[in-house]
Amino acid sequence: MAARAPRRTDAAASADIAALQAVLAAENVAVYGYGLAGAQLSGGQLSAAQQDWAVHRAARATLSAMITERGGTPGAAAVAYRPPFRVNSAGAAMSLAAVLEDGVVRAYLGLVALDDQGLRTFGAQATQAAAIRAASWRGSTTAFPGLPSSALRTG
Amino acid sequence: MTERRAVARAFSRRRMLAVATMMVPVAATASCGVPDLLAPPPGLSPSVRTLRAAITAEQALVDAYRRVLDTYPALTAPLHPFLAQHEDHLAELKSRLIIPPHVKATPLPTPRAASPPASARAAVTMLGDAERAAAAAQLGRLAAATPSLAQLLASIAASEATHAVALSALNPAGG
Repeated sequence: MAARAPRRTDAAASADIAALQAVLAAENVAVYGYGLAGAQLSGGQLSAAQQDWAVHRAARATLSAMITERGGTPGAAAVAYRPPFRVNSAGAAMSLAAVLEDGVVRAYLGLVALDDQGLRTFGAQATQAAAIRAASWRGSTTAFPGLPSSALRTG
Repeated sequence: MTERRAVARAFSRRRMLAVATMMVPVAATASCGVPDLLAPPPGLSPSVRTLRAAITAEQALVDAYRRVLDTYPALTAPLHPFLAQHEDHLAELKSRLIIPPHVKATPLPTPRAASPPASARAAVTMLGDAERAAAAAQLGRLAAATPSLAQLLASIAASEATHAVALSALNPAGG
């Protein structure tokens, strides 16, 4: 008789869904936030914002499907989100885009802590992509994208 | 005499039985995966080996940046922030490395020093390639890492990926 693959425990499956829901929530914020940012941008910056907005919309669809596959119900986006500061200039719009990507980086890092190796790799790859977008909007790189200083021993 | 021989035989039989009785639990525990009392202490865990590999790779990147900056000091302004971030990575990784006292770990390998690239532009290209390779290698280490270490490695990989992109946009003079 062939050995059965070990089934994911209910707790592990719940943790997977909760982490995916957190990422979906961050993607919902990003989709809304890029709309706000785009209104203040023009030319190449607007094109970049539109491109990133499309990336987040696609990610939202992917995540919703992943949650549904695991027996969860994807969380709905809010009607509106309050930006962390007034977005009334191109500079503020670019700062907002960087902040949005920071939130997405943090959320995807949550997937990297799961036991599921597929989700770990998926989360790590998405973390890299979001960190690249954040650095591009900010104009500088950071040593530990997505990790708070409290998570660092040398921080 | 016969009686003595019979007593000796009986004693010997009892000893064999006693030894056999003692051996049963030992055999049973050995087959159940219970640690053997006389076995050597366990070696490095997969997570520690992963951490050591990450430290070696990070040290190689730091050394590569230092060699490039020694050869092309004009690159200090654009490259030093990346070097500083790698030094932060290295310090954080090393802070998590605790080798149990009973384990004789071999010293971390010293990365082989490559000769400096022939031009500043080639040096930047070489560093960009090294950053991309390092970021990709971190992903391969995630499976053996604890959740906390996996997050650190993924974050460092993300930082390295941003370095690679930033380096590709640099166009140093002296081509």
